[in-house]
Amino acid sequence: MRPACGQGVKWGEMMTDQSKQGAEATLYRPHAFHIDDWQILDSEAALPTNGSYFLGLERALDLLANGTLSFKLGVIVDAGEDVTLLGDYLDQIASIAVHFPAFSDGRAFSSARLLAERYAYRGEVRATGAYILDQMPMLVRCGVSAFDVQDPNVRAGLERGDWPDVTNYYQPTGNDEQLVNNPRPWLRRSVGL
Amino acid sequence: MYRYDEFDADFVRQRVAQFRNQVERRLSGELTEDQFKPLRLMNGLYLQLHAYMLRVAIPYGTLNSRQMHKLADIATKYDRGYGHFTTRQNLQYNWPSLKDTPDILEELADVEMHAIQTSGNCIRNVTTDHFAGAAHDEIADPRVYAEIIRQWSSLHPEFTFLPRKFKIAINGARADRAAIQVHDIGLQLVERAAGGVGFAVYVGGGQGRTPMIAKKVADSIAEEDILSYLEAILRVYNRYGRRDNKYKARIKILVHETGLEELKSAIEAEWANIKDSVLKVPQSEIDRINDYFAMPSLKEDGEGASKLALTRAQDAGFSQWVSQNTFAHKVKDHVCVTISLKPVGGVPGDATDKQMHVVADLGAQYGYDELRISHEQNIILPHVAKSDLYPLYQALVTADLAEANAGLVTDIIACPGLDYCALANARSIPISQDISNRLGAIERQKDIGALKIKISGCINACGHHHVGHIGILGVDRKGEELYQITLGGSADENTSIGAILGRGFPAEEVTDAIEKVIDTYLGLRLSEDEPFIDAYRRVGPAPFKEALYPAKAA
Repeated sequence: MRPACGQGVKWGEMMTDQSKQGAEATLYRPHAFHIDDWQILDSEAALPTNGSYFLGLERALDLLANGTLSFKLGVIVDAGEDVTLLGDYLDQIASIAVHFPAFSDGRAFSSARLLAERYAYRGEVRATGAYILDQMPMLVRCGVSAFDVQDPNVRAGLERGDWPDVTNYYQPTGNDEQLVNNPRPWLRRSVGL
Repeated sequence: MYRYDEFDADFVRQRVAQFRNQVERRLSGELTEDQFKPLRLMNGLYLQLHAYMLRVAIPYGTLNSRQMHKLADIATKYDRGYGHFTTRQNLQYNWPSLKDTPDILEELADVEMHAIQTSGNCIRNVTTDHFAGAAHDEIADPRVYAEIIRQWSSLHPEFTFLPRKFKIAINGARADRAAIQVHDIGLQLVERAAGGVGFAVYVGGGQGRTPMIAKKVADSIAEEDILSYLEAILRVYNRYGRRDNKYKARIKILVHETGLEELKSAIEAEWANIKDSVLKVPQSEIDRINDYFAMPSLKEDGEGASKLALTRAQDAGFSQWVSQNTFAHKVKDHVCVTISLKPVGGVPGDATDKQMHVVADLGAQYGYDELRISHEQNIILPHVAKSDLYPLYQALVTADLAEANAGLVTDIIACPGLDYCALANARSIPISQDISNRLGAIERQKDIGALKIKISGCINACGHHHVGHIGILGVDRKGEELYQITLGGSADENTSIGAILGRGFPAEEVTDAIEKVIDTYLGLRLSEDEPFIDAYRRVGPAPFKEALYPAKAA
């Protein structure tokens, strides 16, 4: 589920006990790293009968159109893939991974925002791949709710409590609407946490 | 002009604190240069040939005297006593040290300035007509919308990692002085049939190695819809712009490869989804921003015109300066003044700290505290009463800022070139200086008339050579700097891309070649009233080719 940003959760603020989680906890949500119970299904592997698995977009679409789901479905949307193809099936998808092949490839920002705003998708949107720490606050504003953390720099920053956000927003995204506690004339919003 | 409120001030302070943290991480070695690069670029900090370069945003080229004084102070304190005004209405410091840059940004924040989005693959500083709010031929003040767009685009969470940089220009007058058709998005304010103003929208213009003129995608977008329409364009670009090759990543390539009609329908489809969202700009907000840009209360200067005529009759130098460096104002007893940063033989766009202080003081004294930077790298005082022109001119003469060459052949645009820039193949500044020295005699300049020479030191075209009436492009051929000459470019409402005339010239022959081109023009123009660009459009390149490459023509 989407983290409850509206209740004043500051993403970068680590709870000390949980921040000591071992390196096997790679899924970051507000406050803490968690053990990731999702797996990526090998493209050649048979469909599982239970568990939580990510499939590539093409295979997922095929399954959604023609099959029945016997496991918790996640879909990996690569940067160049069209997230709107999932529009008709979102209630059957528990997690969507928007992937960064390189931090400079910002297509995942649009994918996340389309999910959050055009489709009001309420499942998990997780960022994967080569994003950097300094992109994370903006990704959250675009609708990302979890991060697959593999980069030691990202991990080090989060463990230190870094969350490099500028909390005055000139342009609300769908997600920011929940953050408003200091409405400005027209567009501008301050998180003011 | 626009003034920060608490929200804006806090925004910039937070950004400075964020950058200070990043610089500390770099200085301590925690961040490698590779990791630091995207972060510093988001704050306008480049690594050049010899040093860091900090590019400071001057939003839509507008500033007041306090800000200009601060720019001068920073040049004194952190740089080598000068700054360089750019074609994007920004200011560049060429010699800051990395450790000082957070302090520089802090000082800029004191006067409501910053370096946000002056580099990186994001929406850059919005540029506009340097006479905005003052020009006699204005439909509406473009700064109002430039400010609304500045706010919307500042640290936009979705559009900060675009395929490539993204430049928006707005023009509010009937004549295009913002070169909107060579920008990623060009906005032209228009009167709407239904009343009120709107925007004609052009997409996909640009220079660089593949120069293209923008295509019109909309005739008249309502004011209230401008942000949702821009957001639709940016989203289509962010999702579909090419990322496999940085030289094909600008939106102009997307327009070219997708085709105008298909792209237009993609934009329209995207827009339909967000048109009625929170991005609709309320009239109250447009009015609120408009109030910031109200015309200052200009003094009555009924005697100004007759006094001016008298003084001009007594001082020929002044008279030449008035005819060349002033522009008609909305209010009859005032004019817009161009303070040339193109002294004959000088470096285009450079100003010393002392000159910046002088201009700031003059702006406060005679210009209602308003200054502008033009994309042609000059400083503008947009409102000056006619009777103040003479004392203003005399002060400018004392400060070596009274060159009467606005729009003439020595009003050259040049990029920093190989003297500073890590991308350059060739030097631009010495070429510009040499041409300026050769043609600088004022009688000769007057005889030649309106002529825009623009010089780039590499194919990235920062010196706008594609749209110079005469363009000069420095290239590297097996270790030798060669200069190609293009003719017929223009960046106004009749935008055109110049055509290469022939093989390039080594540095020491460029000025001769330019002189030959100009002499050819002088020989074939129908009268003194036919400017270079009109003559070129009439006769085409042939006579110029014959003059420069006689053997081939024979």
